[in-house]
Amino acid sequence: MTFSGVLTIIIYSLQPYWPLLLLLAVLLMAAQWAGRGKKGRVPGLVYGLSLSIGIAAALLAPTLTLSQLSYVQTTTDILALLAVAVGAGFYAGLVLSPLLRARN
Amino acid sequence: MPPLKHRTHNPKRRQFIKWGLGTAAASALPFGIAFARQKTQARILILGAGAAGTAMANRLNNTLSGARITIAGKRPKHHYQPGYTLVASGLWAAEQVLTPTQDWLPSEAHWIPSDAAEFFPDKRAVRLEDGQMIEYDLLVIATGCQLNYADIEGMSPDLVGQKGIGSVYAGAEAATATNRQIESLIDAGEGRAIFTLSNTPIKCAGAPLKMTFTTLSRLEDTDRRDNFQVDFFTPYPNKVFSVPVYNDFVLNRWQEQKVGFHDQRVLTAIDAEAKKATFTTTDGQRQQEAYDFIHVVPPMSAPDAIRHSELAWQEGGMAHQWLEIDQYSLQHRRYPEIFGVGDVIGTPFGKTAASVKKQAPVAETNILNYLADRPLTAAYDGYTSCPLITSVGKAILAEFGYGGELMPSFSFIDPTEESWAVWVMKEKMLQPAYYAMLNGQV
Repeated sequence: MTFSGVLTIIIYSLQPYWPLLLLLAVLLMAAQWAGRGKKGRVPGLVYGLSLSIGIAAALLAPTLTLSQLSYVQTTTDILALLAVAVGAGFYAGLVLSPLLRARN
Repeated sequence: MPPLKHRTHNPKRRQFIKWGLGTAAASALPFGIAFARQKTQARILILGAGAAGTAMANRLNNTLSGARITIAGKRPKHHYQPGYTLVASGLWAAEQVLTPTQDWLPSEAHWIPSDAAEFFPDKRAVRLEDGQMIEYDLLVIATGCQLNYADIEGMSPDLVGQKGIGSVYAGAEAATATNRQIESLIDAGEGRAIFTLSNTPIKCAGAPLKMTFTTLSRLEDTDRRDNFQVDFFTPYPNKVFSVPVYNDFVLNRWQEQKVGFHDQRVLTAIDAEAKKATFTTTDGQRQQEAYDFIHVVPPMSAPDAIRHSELAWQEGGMAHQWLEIDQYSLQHRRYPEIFGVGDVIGTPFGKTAASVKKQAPVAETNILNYLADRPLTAAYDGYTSCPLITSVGKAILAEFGYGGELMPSFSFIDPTEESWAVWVMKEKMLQPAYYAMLNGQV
């Protein structure tokens, strides 16, 4: 498959989600902007919250795709679900840490 | 004052970046634009503006310079047919599978919204239904197939959506109507659902099985599964699918799901008013079955204009039914200036959108070779793919070719395992991939 073919598929796949992706990007930029200048320690709460959000996203993913958690059976399914958890958790961390970290 | 620190320019690094950008740019362009387009004055006529015709029009438009491409097909809306089962299972709205045909066609090509009526292969001409006579130097037949509902006594496409009759094949609206009939069955709280299979080659041979599986899934969700009787009638002995591994899987699963299995029975008549279906056995006996819902799979063939012409197979099992082409080169066996792509072709396998994805580049390469008087080098291997939905939420990615050989595309997906990831592919990724195919980009 050509690079343009892959790009086309990705663009078409993401088409229904552009508003959501835009919102997530704006949220991330706003959080980073709000947290500028903060150089203190990242509180443990951020890690806990990010982990919880990652796990919640993974548990919800099958339902959001009109499926159910019990159908996540193969190694590929489990790895895909883990990727959802890691991606959502990492994003949550990026948003929360500038907001919740201490000033100094 | 300390000297300013400049980053040292590394010529090798710059060259690497230039090469990288160049390669990315080249791969981002369609093959035919990145390299020289083949010059020709040929008049190319493409019959059919569905998946196969549109993909061929875009591919030839990208790779040829100077060709006069005409595409004839009367459907104003393009139907994403792989989505029909999702519509008929109540998961998608019909609008999700419909787009304007014009949006997919290359602007350089001339579109005539009319289907073929008669062929004059010796004169290299085709008469369209609107009366126009079009001459060609090269003809691509991609009309899709014809649904012969009338071959079932008492049946017509107008009955789909009424009196318990459903059929996923008859179009997006029919798929919606089929869903309504299934909903009525579920709402009734009890009843008998009959699923059928035709005794001809059919497009998307997995669709009748998917409809059975998604309906079972919905019935099981009611917690009143035992109130419903589900039966499957097939014309073939102990067979519902051509590839043994998938056939065995389906039959075993249906046994677990208490589906009544009736083989060697062809649906030959329907009494819509009485809600009774007549099946004919191999020894000619007729047997009547009452139903509350029936999923009808019509016999299929090439459109009448083709099957009653010189272009159809003249002998063998596909005689006067399907377009005669070489199953590898996709070139007509008697008229070398004619190629065939998609559901209309008379090959052992290859009546899915995924087949078109593999056929289109083969036909394109061989057409370029034909126009340049070179030997035809590309060969279609029968690749057919079907994400076989086994329940709402999981599926098996069945991929196979001539001889029933399994042809998995992804090393990380077992072609015999049910998977959520495959379901997500079917539900979320297949349509974008299909549209990329229409654009001639995959």
